[in-house]
Amino acid sequence: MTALAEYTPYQVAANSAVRPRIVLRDMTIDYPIYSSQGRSLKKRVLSTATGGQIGRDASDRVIVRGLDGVTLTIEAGERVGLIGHNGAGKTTLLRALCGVYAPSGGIAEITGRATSLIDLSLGIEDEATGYENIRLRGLMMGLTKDQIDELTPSIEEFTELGPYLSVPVRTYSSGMRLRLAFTVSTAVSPEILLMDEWLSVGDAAFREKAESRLKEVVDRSGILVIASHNLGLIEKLCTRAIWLDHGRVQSDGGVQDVVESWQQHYADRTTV
Amino acid sequence: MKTGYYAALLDVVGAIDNWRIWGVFGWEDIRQRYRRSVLGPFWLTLSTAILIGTIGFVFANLFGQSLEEFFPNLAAGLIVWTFIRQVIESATGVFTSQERVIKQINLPLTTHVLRMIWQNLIILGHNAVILVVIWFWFGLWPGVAILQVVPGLVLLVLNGVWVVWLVAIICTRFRDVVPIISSVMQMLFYFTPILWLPAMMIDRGVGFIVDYNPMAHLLALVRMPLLGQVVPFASWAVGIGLLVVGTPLAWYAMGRLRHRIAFWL
Repeated sequence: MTALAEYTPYQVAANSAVRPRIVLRDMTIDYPIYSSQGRSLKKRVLSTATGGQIGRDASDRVIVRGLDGVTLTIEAGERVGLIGHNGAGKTTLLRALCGVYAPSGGIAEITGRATSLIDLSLGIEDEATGYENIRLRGLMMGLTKDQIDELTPSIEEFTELGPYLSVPVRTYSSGMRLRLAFTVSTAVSPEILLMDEWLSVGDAAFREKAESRLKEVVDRSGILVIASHNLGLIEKLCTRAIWLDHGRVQSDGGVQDVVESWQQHYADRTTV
Repeated sequence: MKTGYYAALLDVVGAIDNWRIWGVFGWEDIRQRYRRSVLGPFWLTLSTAILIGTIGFVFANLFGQSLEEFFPNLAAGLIVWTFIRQVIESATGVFTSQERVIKQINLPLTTHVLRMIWQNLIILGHNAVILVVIWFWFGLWPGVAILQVVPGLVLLVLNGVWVVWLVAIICTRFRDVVPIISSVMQMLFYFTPILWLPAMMIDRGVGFIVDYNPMAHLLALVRMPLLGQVVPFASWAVGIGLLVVGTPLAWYAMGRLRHRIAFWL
Protein backbone atom coordinates (compact mmCIF):
# COMPACT_ATOMS: atom_id res chain seq x y z
CA MET A 1 0.00 0.00 0.00
CA THR A 2 3.02 2.28 -0.11
CA ALA A 3 2.04 3.22 -3.63
CA LEU A 4 -1.04 4.82 -2.19
CA ALA A 5 0.90 7.36 -0.24
CA GLU A 6 -1.67 10.09 -0.69
CA TYR A 7 -4.50 7.91 0.45
CA THR A 8 -6.27 9.18 3.51
CA PRO A 9 -9.00 6.93 4.79
CA TYR A 10 -12.44 8.40 5.09
CA GLN A 11 -12.91 6.82 8.48
CA VAL A 12 -12.35 9.17 11.38
CA ALA A 13 -9.15 8.28 13.15
CA ALA A 14 -9.51 7.84 16.88
CA ASN A 15 -7.17 10.62 17.87
CA SER A 16 -5.90 12.43 14.88
CA ALA A 17 -3.91 15.49 15.70
CA VAL A 18 -4.11 17.25 12.39
CA ARG A 19 -3.93 21.00 12.59
CA PRO A 20 -6.53 22.07 10.10
CA ARG A 21 -5.57 24.65 7.56
CA ILE A 22 -7.16 26.00 4.43
CA VAL A 23 -5.04 27.56 1.74
CA LEU A 24 -6.64 28.80 -1.46
CA ARG A 25 -4.48 30.30 -4.13
CA ASP A 26 -6.17 32.04 -7.01
CA MET A 27 -8.90 29.44 -6.95
CA THR A 28 -11.51 29.63 -9.64
CA ILE A 29 -14.59 27.52 -9.97
CA ASP A 30 -16.51 27.42 -13.21
CA TYR A 31 -19.86 25.81 -13.42
CA PRO A 32 -21.09 24.56 -16.70
CA ILE A 33 -24.82 25.16 -16.91
CA TYR A 34 -26.54 22.73 -19.17
CA SER A 35 -29.90 23.57 -20.57
CA SER A 36 -32.16 20.69 -21.45
CA GLN A 37 -30.72 20.99 -24.93
CA GLY A 38 -27.17 21.04 -23.73
CA ARG A 39 -27.75 17.83 -21.86
CA SER A 40 -28.93 16.01 -24.92
CA LEU A 41 -26.54 13.76 -26.71
CA LYS A 42 -28.59 14.00 -29.88
CA LYS A 43 -28.02 17.71 -30.13
CA ARG A 44 -24.36 17.22 -29.65
CA VAL A 45 -24.14 14.61 -32.37
CA LEU A 46 -26.12 16.83 -34.69
CA SER A 47 -23.91 19.76 -33.94
CA THR A 48 -20.73 17.93 -34.76
CA ALA A 49 -22.28 16.44 -37.86
CA THR A 50 -23.49 19.72 -39.27
CA GLY A 51 -21.16 22.10 -37.50
CA GLY A 52 -21.46 25.84 -37.79
CA GLN A 53 -24.80 27.30 -36.90
CA ILE A 54 -26.44 24.47 -35.08
CA GLY A 55 -23.16 23.97 -33.31
CA ARG A 56 -23.45 27.37 -31.81
CA ASP A 57 -27.04 26.69 -30.90
CA ALA A 58 -26.42 23.27 -29.44
CA SER A 59 -23.30 24.06 -27.53
CA ASP A 60 -25.20 26.67 -25.56
CA ARG A 61 -23.10 25.78 -22.61
CA VAL A 62 -23.29 28.73 -20.35
CA ILE A 63 -20.37 28.87 -18.01
CA VAL A 64 -20.87 30.60 -14.74
CA ARG A 65 -17.82 31.65 -12.84
CA GLY A 66 -18.86 30.75 -9.33
CA LEU A 67 -15.61 31.81 -7.74
CA ASP A 68 -13.04 34.00 -9.36
CA GLY A 69 -9.44 34.02 -8.21
CA VAL A 70 -10.04 33.52 -4.52
CA THR A 71 -6.88 33.64 -2.45
CA LEU A 72 -7.04 33.18 1.28
CA THR A 73 -5.58 31.26 4.17
CA ILE A 74 -7.55 30.14 7.17
CA GLU A 75 -5.67 28.84 10.19
CA ALA A 76 -6.79 26.60 13.01
CA GLY A 77 -9.00 28.33 15.57
CA GLU A 78 -10.44 30.88 13.18
CA ARG A 79 -14.17 31.37 12.91
CA VAL A 80 -14.90 32.86 9.57
CA GLY A 81 -18.19 34.42 8.50
CA LEU A 82 -18.98 34.60 4.80
CA ILE A 83 -21.23 37.42 3.74
CA GLY A 84 -22.47 38.55 0.38
CA HIS A 85 -25.62 38.85 -1.65
CA ASN A 86 -27.47 35.85 -3.00
CA GLY A 87 -25.40 34.11 -5.60
CA ALA A 88 -22.17 35.76 -4.50
CA GLY A 89 -20.49 32.36 -4.25
CA LYS A 90 -20.85 31.56 -0.57
CA THR A 91 -22.22 28.05 -0.98
CA THR A 92 -19.85 27.35 -3.85
CA LEU A 93 -16.95 28.30 -1.61
CA LEU A 94 -18.23 26.00 1.13
CA ARG A 95 -18.57 23.16 -1.36
CA ALA A 96 -15.05 23.74 -2.60
CA LEU A 97 -13.80 23.74 1.00
CA CYS A 98 -15.37 20.39 1.73
CA GLY A 99 -13.82 18.97 -1.39
CA VAL A 100 -16.98 18.40 -3.36
CA TYR A 101 -16.10 20.86 -6.12
CA ALA A 102 -12.75 20.59 -7.78
CA PRO A 103 -11.18 23.96 -8.60
CA SER A 104 -11.24 24.74 -12.31
CA GLY A 105 -8.16 26.86 -11.79
CA GLY A 106 -5.74 27.67 -9.00
CA ILE A 107 -5.04 25.60 -5.96
CA ALA A 108 -7.07 24.48 -2.98
CA GLU A 109 -5.11 22.84 -0.18
CA ILE A 110 -7.32 21.67 2.60
CA THR A 111 -5.78 19.93 5.58
CA GLY A 112 -8.14 18.26 7.99
CA ARG A 113 -11.51 16.60 7.82
CA ALA A 114 -14.29 18.85 6.73
CA THR A 115 -17.90 18.32 7.73
CA SER A 116 -20.43 20.44 6.03
CA LEU A 117 -23.81 21.32 7.40
CA ILE A 118 -25.04 22.78 4.16
CA ASP A 119 -28.09 20.59 4.08
CA LEU A 120 -28.91 19.39 7.57
CA SER A 121 -31.62 16.97 6.61
CA LEU A 122 -29.16 14.97 4.54
CA GLY A 123 -29.17 11.30 5.29
CA ILE A 124 -32.13 11.52 7.61
CA GLU A 125 -34.36 8.61 6.73
CA ASP A 126 -37.99 9.30 7.51
CA GLU A 127 -39.03 5.76 8.24
CA ALA A 128 -36.06 5.01 10.46
CA THR A 129 -36.10 5.80 14.16
CA GLY A 130 -34.00 8.47 15.80
CA TYR A 131 -31.49 5.89 17.02
CA GLU A 132 -31.20 4.31 13.59
CA ASN A 133 -30.65 7.72 12.11
CA ILE A 134 -27.87 8.43 14.58
CA ARG A 135 -26.21 5.25 13.34
CA LEU A 136 -26.77 5.98 9.65
CA ARG A 137 -25.63 9.52 9.78
CA GLY A 138 -22.67 8.60 11.94
CA LEU A 139 -21.60 6.02 9.37
CA MET A 140 -22.03 8.52 6.58
CA MET A 141 -19.72 10.85 8.48
CA GLY A 142 -17.08 8.16 8.66
CA LEU A 143 -17.57 6.91 12.21
CA THR A 144 -17.20 3.27 13.09
CA LYS A 145 -19.92 1.35 14.88
CA ASP A 146 -17.99 1.49 18.15
CA GLN A 147 -17.47 5.21 17.89
CA ILE A 148 -21.17 5.69 17.28
CA ASP A 149 -22.09 3.53 20.27
CA GLU A 150 -19.75 5.57 22.39
CA LEU A 151 -21.23 8.87 21.24
CA THR A 152 -24.87 7.86 21.44
CA PRO A 153 -25.43 8.72 25.15
CA SER A 154 -24.12 12.25 24.69
CA ILE A 155 -26.23 12.66 21.57
CA GLU A 156 -29.26 11.42 23.46
CA GLU A 157 -28.64 13.95 26.15
CA PHE A 158 -27.98 16.91 23.89
CA THR A 159 -31.00 16.44 21.63
CA GLU A 160 -33.34 16.22 24.64
CA LEU A 161 -35.56 14.09 22.45
CA GLY A 162 -35.83 11.33 25.04
CA PRO A 163 -38.27 8.57 24.08
CA TYR A 164 -38.82 10.14 20.67
CA LEU A 165 -35.48 8.69 19.60
CA SER A 166 -37.16 5.29 19.48
CA VAL A 167 -39.88 6.29 17.04
CA PRO A 168 -39.61 6.96 13.30
CA VAL A 169 -38.32 10.38 12.37
CA ARG A 170 -41.34 11.02 10.17
CA THR A 171 -43.29 11.71 13.35
CA TYR A 172 -40.88 14.51 14.32
CA SER A 173 -41.54 18.20 13.96
CA SER A 174 -39.06 20.10 11.82
CA GLY A 175 -37.45 21.53 14.93
CA MET A 176 -36.95 18.06 16.36
CA ARG A 177 -35.39 16.87 13.12
CA LEU A 178 -32.95 19.73 13.16
CA ARG A 179 -32.04 18.97 16.75
CA LEU A 180 -31.22 15.42 15.80
CA ALA A 181 -29.30 16.30 12.65
CA PHE A 182 -27.38 19.11 14.25
CA THR A 183 -26.39 17.08 17.26
CA VAL A 184 -25.19 14.07 15.29
CA SER A 185 -23.32 16.23 12.82
CA THR A 186 -21.46 18.05 15.53
CA ALA A 187 -20.98 15.05 17.82
CA VAL A 188 -17.47 14.43 16.61
CA SER A 189 -15.53 17.62 16.38
CA PRO A 190 -14.69 17.87 12.74
CA GLU A 191 -11.46 19.65 12.06
CA ILE A 192 -13.25 21.95 9.68
CA LEU A 193 -16.92 22.74 10.12
CA LEU A 194 -18.74 24.33 7.22
CA MET A 195 -22.20 25.77 7.68
CA ASP A 196 -24.55 27.41 5.28
CA GLU A 197 -26.94 29.90 6.79
CA TRP A 198 -27.59 29.81 10.44
CA LEU A 199 -29.91 26.99 11.09
CA SER A 200 -32.81 28.05 13.18
CA VAL A 201 -32.24 25.02 15.31
CA GLY A 202 -35.39 24.48 17.28
CA ASP A 203 -36.47 26.88 19.96
CA ALA A 204 -34.53 29.70 21.58
CA ALA A 205 -33.19 27.54 24.38
CA PHE A 206 -31.80 24.97 22.00
CA ARG A 207 -30.35 27.62 19.73
CA GLU A 208 -28.42 28.94 22.68
CA LYS A 209 -27.09 25.47 23.38
CA ALA A 210 -26.29 24.92 19.73
CA GLU A 211 -24.29 28.12 19.54
CA SER A 212 -22.19 27.27 22.55
CA ARG A 213 -21.63 23.79 21.15
CA LEU A 214 -20.44 25.27 17.90
CA LYS A 215 -18.00 27.50 19.72
CA GLU A 216 -16.82 24.49 21.66
CA VAL A 217 -16.25 22.54 18.48
CA VAL A 218 -14.24 25.35 17.00
CA ASP A 219 -12.29 25.90 20.18
CA ARG A 220 -11.08 22.33 19.99
CA SER A 221 -8.68 23.73 17.44
CA GLY A 222 -10.97 23.57 14.47
CA ILE A 223 -11.99 25.93 11.75
CA LEU A 224 -15.51 27.20 11.32
CA VAL A 225 -16.68 28.73 8.09
CA ILE A 226 -20.24 29.92 8.18
CA ALA A 227 -22.19 31.62 5.44
CA SER A 228 -25.00 33.79 6.65
CA HIS A 229 -27.08 36.84 5.95
CA ASN A 230 -27.49 37.31 9.65
CA LEU A 231 -24.84 39.93 10.41
CA GLY A 232 -25.63 39.91 14.12
CA LEU A 233 -24.85 36.21 14.26
CA ILE A 234 -21.59 36.62 12.43
CA GLU A 235 -20.57 39.40 14.77
CA LYS A 236 -21.35 37.21 17.70
CA LEU A 237 -19.78 33.99 16.44
CA CYS A 238 -16.90 34.87 14.18
CA THR A 239 -13.40 36.22 14.51
CA ARG A 240 -13.05 37.11 10.87
CA ALA A 241 -15.36 37.94 8.01
CA ILE A 242 -15.06 37.58 4.28
CA TRP A 243 -17.31 39.49 1.96
CA LEU A 244 -17.82 37.79 -1.36
CA ASP A 245 -19.14 39.68 -4.32
CA HIS A 246 -19.69 38.04 -7.70
CA GLY A 247 -17.34 35.25 -6.77
CA ARG A 248 -14.52 37.56 -5.73
CA VAL A 249 -13.25 38.40 -2.30
CA GLN A 250 -14.35 42.00 -1.84
CA SER A 251 -13.11 42.40 1.65
CA ASP A 252 -11.43 40.16 4.19
CA GLY A 253 -10.56 41.00 7.75
CA GLY A 254 -11.95 41.74 11.19
CA VAL A 255 -15.67 41.19 11.52
CA GLN A 256 -16.42 44.81 12.42
CA ASP A 257 -14.56 46.27 9.46
CA VAL A 258 -15.96 43.91 6.88
CA VAL A 259 -19.51 44.18 8.14
CA GLU A 260 -19.28 47.94 8.16
CA SER A 261 -17.93 48.19 4.66
CA TRP A 262 -20.61 45.80 3.48
CA GLN A 263 -23.31 47.85 5.17
CA GLN A 264 -21.80 51.01 3.74
CA HIS A 265 -21.88 49.46 0.30
CA TYR A 266 -25.50 48.54 0.75
CA ALA A 267 -26.43 51.95 2.07
CA ASP A 268 -24.79 53.60 -0.94
CA ARG A 269 -26.60 51.36 -3.33
CA THR A 270 -30.01 51.94 -1.80
CA THR A 271 -29.65 55.71 -1.67
CA VAL A 272 -28.65 55.95 -5.33
CA MET B 1 -12.05 16.68 -5.15
CA LYS B 2 -8.71 15.71 -6.64
CA THR B 3 -8.45 15.22 -10.35
CA GLY B 4 -6.67 12.72 -12.51
CA TYR B 5 -6.09 9.00 -12.91
CA TYR B 6 -4.33 8.47 -9.64
CA ALA B 7 -7.20 10.15 -7.82
CA ALA B 8 -9.58 7.85 -9.67
CA LEU B 9 -7.65 4.89 -8.33
CA LEU B 10 -7.77 6.34 -4.82
CA ASP B 11 -11.51 6.77 -5.26
CA VAL B 12 -11.90 3.03 -5.80
CA VAL B 13 -9.53 2.13 -2.96
CA GLY B 14 -11.30 4.57 -0.65
CA ALA B 15 -14.68 3.12 -1.54
CA ILE B 16 -13.53 -0.42 -0.81
CA ASP B 17 -12.17 0.83 2.49
CA ASN B 18 -15.58 2.35 3.18
CA TRP B 19 -17.29 -1.02 2.98
CA ARG B 20 -19.16 -0.31 6.17
CA ILE B 21 -20.91 2.64 4.60
CA TRP B 22 -22.12 0.93 1.45
CA GLY B 23 -22.64 -2.32 3.30
CA VAL B 24 -25.11 -0.73 5.68
CA PHE B 25 -26.73 1.62 3.19
CA GLY B 26 -27.22 -1.15 0.64
CA TRP B 27 -29.32 -3.01 3.19
CA GLU B 28 -30.94 0.19 4.32
CA ASP B 29 -32.14 0.97 0.77
CA ILE B 30 -34.01 -2.32 0.73
CA ARG B 31 -35.33 -2.04 4.28
CA GLN B 32 -36.55 1.43 3.49
CA ARG B 33 -38.63 0.20 0.62
CA TYR B 34 -40.33 -2.52 2.63
CA ARG B 35 -40.34 -0.97 6.02
CA ARG B 36 -43.96 -1.35 6.95
CA SER B 37 -44.65 -4.55 5.08
CA VAL B 38 -44.86 -7.96 6.68
CA LEU B 39 -43.07 -9.96 4.00
CA GLY B 40 -40.43 -7.29 3.55
CA PRO B 41 -37.85 -7.98 0.87
CA PHE B 42 -39.46 -11.34 0.23
CA TRP B 43 -42.02 -9.44 -1.80
CA LEU B 44 -39.27 -9.30 -4.38
CA THR B 45 -38.92 -13.07 -4.25
CA LEU B 46 -42.66 -13.51 -4.51
CA SER B 47 -43.09 -11.24 -7.49
CA THR B 48 -40.15 -12.88 -9.28
CA ALA B 49 -41.64 -16.29 -8.52
CA ILE B 50 -45.00 -15.26 -9.97
CA LEU B 51 -43.28 -13.92 -13.08
CA ILE B 52 -41.29 -17.11 -13.55
CA GLY B 53 -44.36 -19.27 -13.00
CA THR B 54 -46.43 -17.37 -15.53
CA ILE B 55 -43.78 -17.12 -18.23
CA GLY B 56 -42.73 -20.70 -17.63
CA PHE B 57 -46.25 -22.04 -18.09
CA VAL B 58 -47.03 -19.98 -21.20
CA PHE B 59 -43.72 -20.38 -23.01
CA ALA B 60 -43.19 -24.05 -22.24
CA ASN B 61 -46.56 -24.74 -23.85
CA LEU B 62 -45.93 -22.32 -26.68
CA PHE B 63 -42.61 -23.91 -27.59
CA GLY B 64 -43.86 -27.42 -26.85
CA GLN B 65 -41.06 -27.86 -24.32
CA SER B 66 -41.13 -30.12 -21.32
CA LEU B 67 -41.43 -28.22 -18.09
CA GLU B 68 -38.51 -30.14 -16.57
CA GLU B 69 -36.15 -28.75 -19.16
CA PHE B 70 -37.59 -25.31 -19.70
CA PHE B 71 -38.52 -24.24 -16.21
CA PRO B 72 -35.17 -24.44 -14.37
CA ASN B 73 -33.42 -22.75 -17.28
CA LEU B 74 -35.94 -19.94 -17.28
CA ALA B 75 -35.87 -19.49 -13.52
CA ALA B 76 -32.08 -19.36 -13.24
CA GLY B 77 -31.83 -17.18 -16.35
CA LEU B 78 -34.45 -14.71 -15.24
CA ILE B 79 -33.05 -14.37 -11.74
CA VAL B 80 -29.53 -13.67 -12.96
CA TRP B 81 -30.84 -11.43 -15.73
CA THR B 82 -32.88 -9.41 -13.22
CA PHE B 83 -29.67 -8.74 -11.34
CA ILE B 84 -27.79 -7.66 -14.47
CA ARG B 85 -30.63 -5.47 -15.71
CA GLN B 86 -31.22 -3.82 -12.35
CA VAL B 87 -27.54 -3.02 -11.93
CA ILE B 88 -27.21 -1.45 -15.37
CA GLU B 89 -30.48 0.43 -15.22
CA SER B 90 -29.76 1.72 -11.72
CA ALA B 91 -26.37 2.82 -12.99
CA THR B 92 -28.09 5.53 -15.01
CA GLY B 93 -29.20 7.22 -11.81
CA VAL B 94 -26.52 6.14 -9.39
CA PHE B 95 -25.18 9.68 -9.07
CA THR B 96 -28.30 11.71 -9.79
CA SER B 97 -30.18 9.89 -7.03
CA GLN B 98 -27.38 10.69 -4.59
CA GLU B 99 -27.10 14.33 -5.62
CA ARG B 100 -27.56 15.70 -2.13
CA VAL B 101 -24.89 13.47 -0.66
CA ILE B 102 -22.44 14.10 -3.49
CA LYS B 103 -22.83 17.86 -3.20
CA GLN B 104 -22.21 17.86 0.50
CA ILE B 105 -19.90 15.02 1.47
CA ASN B 106 -16.60 14.29 -0.16
CA LEU B 107 -17.14 10.55 -0.21
CA PRO B 108 -15.37 8.49 -2.87
CA LEU B 109 -17.91 8.29 -5.69
CA THR B 110 -17.31 4.57 -6.11
CA THR B 111 -19.01 4.20 -2.72
CA HIS B 112 -22.33 4.96 -4.41
CA VAL B 113 -21.57 2.45 -7.16
CA LEU B 114 -20.76 -0.30 -4.68
CA ARG B 115 -23.80 0.54 -2.58
CA MET B 116 -26.07 0.03 -5.57
CA ILE B 117 -24.37 -3.20 -6.68
CA TRP B 118 -24.45 -4.53 -3.13
CA GLN B 119 -28.14 -3.71 -2.86
CA ASN B 120 -28.80 -5.73 -6.00
CA LEU B 121 -26.68 -8.61 -4.75
CA ILE B 122 -28.87 -8.77 -1.67
CA ILE B 123 -31.95 -8.88 -3.89
CA LEU B 124 -30.28 -11.62 -5.94
CA GLY B 125 -29.81 -13.55 -2.73
CA HIS B 126 -33.50 -13.24 -1.92
CA ASN B 127 -34.47 -14.39 -5.38
CA ALA B 128 -32.14 -17.37 -5.15
CA VAL B 129 -34.65 -18.91 -2.74
CA ILE B 130 -36.81 -19.63 -5.79
CA LEU B 131 -34.04 -21.76 -7.27
CA VAL B 132 -33.82 -23.85 -4.16
CA VAL B 133 -37.55 -24.52 -4.46
CA ILE B 134 -37.08 -25.51 -8.10
CA TRP B 135 -34.19 -27.84 -7.27
CA PHE B 136 -36.48 -29.57 -4.81
CA TRP B 137 -39.47 -29.65 -7.11
CA PHE B 138 -37.69 -31.13 -10.10
CA GLY B 139 -35.20 -33.09 -8.03
CA LEU B 140 -32.27 -31.45 -9.81
CA TRP B 141 -29.26 -31.04 -7.59
CA PRO B 142 -26.47 -29.02 -9.13
CA GLY B 143 -23.74 -30.99 -7.31
CA VAL B 144 -20.16 -29.74 -7.23
CA ALA B 145 -20.72 -27.71 -10.38
CA ILE B 146 -22.38 -25.12 -8.16
CA LEU B 147 -18.95 -24.12 -6.84
CA GLN B 148 -18.32 -22.35 -10.15
CA VAL B 149 -20.90 -19.83 -9.06
CA VAL B 150 -18.31 -18.11 -6.86
CA PRO B 151 -15.80 -17.14 -9.57
CA GLY B 152 -18.69 -16.64 -11.97
CA LEU B 153 -20.42 -14.12 -9.75
CA VAL B 154 -17.14 -12.37 -8.93
CA LEU B 155 -16.41 -11.97 -12.62
CA LEU B 156 -19.93 -10.71 -13.27
CA VAL B 157 -19.72 -8.16 -10.44
CA LEU B 158 -16.27 -6.92 -11.48
CA ASN B 159 -17.57 -6.39 -14.98
CA GLY B 160 -20.54 -4.67 -13.37
CA VAL B 161 -18.28 -2.11 -11.68
CA TRP B 162 -16.75 -0.81 -14.89
CA VAL B 163 -20.03 -0.89 -16.80
CA VAL B 164 -21.78 1.01 -14.01
CA TRP B 165 -19.06 3.65 -13.91
CA LEU B 166 -19.20 4.20 -17.66
CA VAL B 167 -22.98 4.22 -17.84
CA ALA B 168 -23.19 6.49 -14.80
CA ILE B 169 -20.77 9.06 -16.24
CA ILE B 170 -22.53 9.14 -19.59
CA CYS B 171 -26.02 9.28 -18.11
CA THR B 172 -25.19 11.96 -15.56
CA ARG B 173 -23.88 14.17 -18.33
CA PHE B 174 -26.33 13.27 -21.08
CA ARG B 175 -29.73 12.75 -19.58
CA ASP B 176 -31.39 11.28 -22.62
CA VAL B 177 -29.11 8.29 -22.68
CA VAL B 178 -31.17 6.97 -19.75
CA PRO B 179 -34.10 5.75 -21.88
CA ILE B 180 -31.65 4.46 -24.50
CA ILE B 181 -30.07 2.23 -21.88
CA SER B 182 -33.39 0.74 -20.90
CA SER B 183 -34.25 0.11 -24.55
CA VAL B 184 -30.92 -1.59 -25.09
CA MET B 185 -31.50 -3.75 -22.05
CA GLN B 186 -34.93 -4.69 -23.34
CA MET B 187 -33.39 -5.66 -26.66
CA LEU B 188 -30.66 -7.71 -25.00
CA PHE B 189 -33.30 -9.50 -22.98
CA TYR B 190 -34.77 -10.99 -26.14
CA PHE B 191 -31.39 -11.67 -27.74
CA THR B 192 -30.15 -13.56 -24.71
CA PRO B 193 -31.28 -17.12 -24.01
CA ILE B 194 -33.63 -16.47 -21.12
CA LEU B 195 -37.11 -16.96 -22.54
CA TRP B 196 -35.76 -19.54 -24.97
CA LEU B 197 -33.19 -22.31 -24.87
CA PRO B 198 -29.96 -21.96 -26.87
CA ALA B 199 -30.74 -25.25 -28.62
CA MET B 200 -33.84 -23.71 -30.20
CA MET B 201 -31.75 -21.11 -32.03
CA ILE B 202 -29.01 -23.53 -33.00
CA ASP B 203 -31.63 -25.83 -34.52
CA ARG B 204 -32.84 -22.95 -36.65
CA GLY B 205 -29.34 -22.07 -37.79
CA VAL B 206 -29.08 -18.79 -35.88
CA GLY B 207 -26.85 -20.07 -33.10
CA PHE B 208 -24.57 -17.07 -33.59
CA ILE B 209 -26.85 -14.90 -31.48
CA VAL B 210 -25.86 -17.07 -28.55
CA ASP B 211 -22.21 -17.57 -29.46
CA TYR B 212 -21.42 -13.94 -30.25
CA ASN B 213 -23.57 -12.39 -27.56
CA PRO B 214 -21.38 -11.23 -24.68
CA MET B 215 -24.44 -10.93 -22.47
CA ALA B 216 -25.25 -14.61 -23.05
CA HIS B 217 -21.75 -15.51 -21.86
CA LEU B 218 -21.94 -13.27 -18.80
CA LEU B 219 -25.29 -14.78 -17.94
CA ALA B 220 -23.91 -18.28 -18.41
CA LEU B 221 -21.16 -17.59 -15.86
CA VAL B 222 -23.73 -17.66 -13.08
CA ARG B 223 -26.65 -19.50 -14.58
CA MET B 224 -24.90 -22.68 -15.66
CA PRO B 225 -23.40 -23.42 -12.23
CA LEU B 226 -26.86 -22.93 -10.72
CA LEU B 227 -28.16 -25.60 -13.08
CA GLY B 228 -25.28 -27.94 -12.33
CA GLN B 229 -23.70 -27.44 -15.73
CA VAL B 230 -20.06 -26.81 -16.48
CA VAL B 231 -19.41 -23.28 -17.72
CA PRO B 232 -17.68 -23.53 -21.11
CA PHE B 233 -14.25 -22.06 -21.60
CA ALA B 234 -15.62 -19.52 -24.08
CA SER B 235 -17.77 -17.90 -21.40
CA TRP B 236 -14.87 -17.56 -18.96
CA ALA B 237 -12.79 -16.09 -21.76
CA VAL B 238 -15.49 -13.58 -22.67
CA GLY B 239 -15.97 -12.60 -19.03
CA ILE B 240 -12.25 -12.04 -18.48
CA GLY B 241 -11.84 -10.40 -21.88
CA LEU B 242 -14.58 -7.87 -21.16
CA LEU B 243 -12.98 -7.06 -17.83
CA VAL B 244 -9.57 -6.53 -19.42
CA VAL B 245 -10.99 -4.26 -22.10
CA GLY B 246 -13.59 -2.44 -20.02
CA THR B 247 -11.68 -1.60 -16.88
CA PRO B 248 -9.08 0.65 -18.53
CA LEU B 249 -11.87 2.29 -20.48
CA ALA B 250 -13.79 3.12 -17.32
CA TRP B 251 -10.60 4.21 -15.59
CA TYR B 252 -9.84 6.57 -18.44
CA ALA B 253 -13.32 8.08 -18.21
CA MET B 254 -13.02 8.37 -14.44
CA GLY B 255 -9.64 10.04 -14.63
CA ARG B 256 -10.92 12.57 -17.11
CA LEU B 257 -14.41 13.24 -15.83
CA ARG B 258 -14.91 12.03 -12.26
CA HIS B 259 -14.26 15.44 -10.70
CA ARG B 260 -16.83 17.05 -12.97
CA ILE B 261 -19.71 14.87 -11.86
CA ALA B 262 -20.61 17.16 -8.94
CA PHE B 263 -21.07 20.01 -11.43
CA TRP B 264 -23.31 17.97 -13.69
CA LEU B 265 -25.80 17.15 -10.98
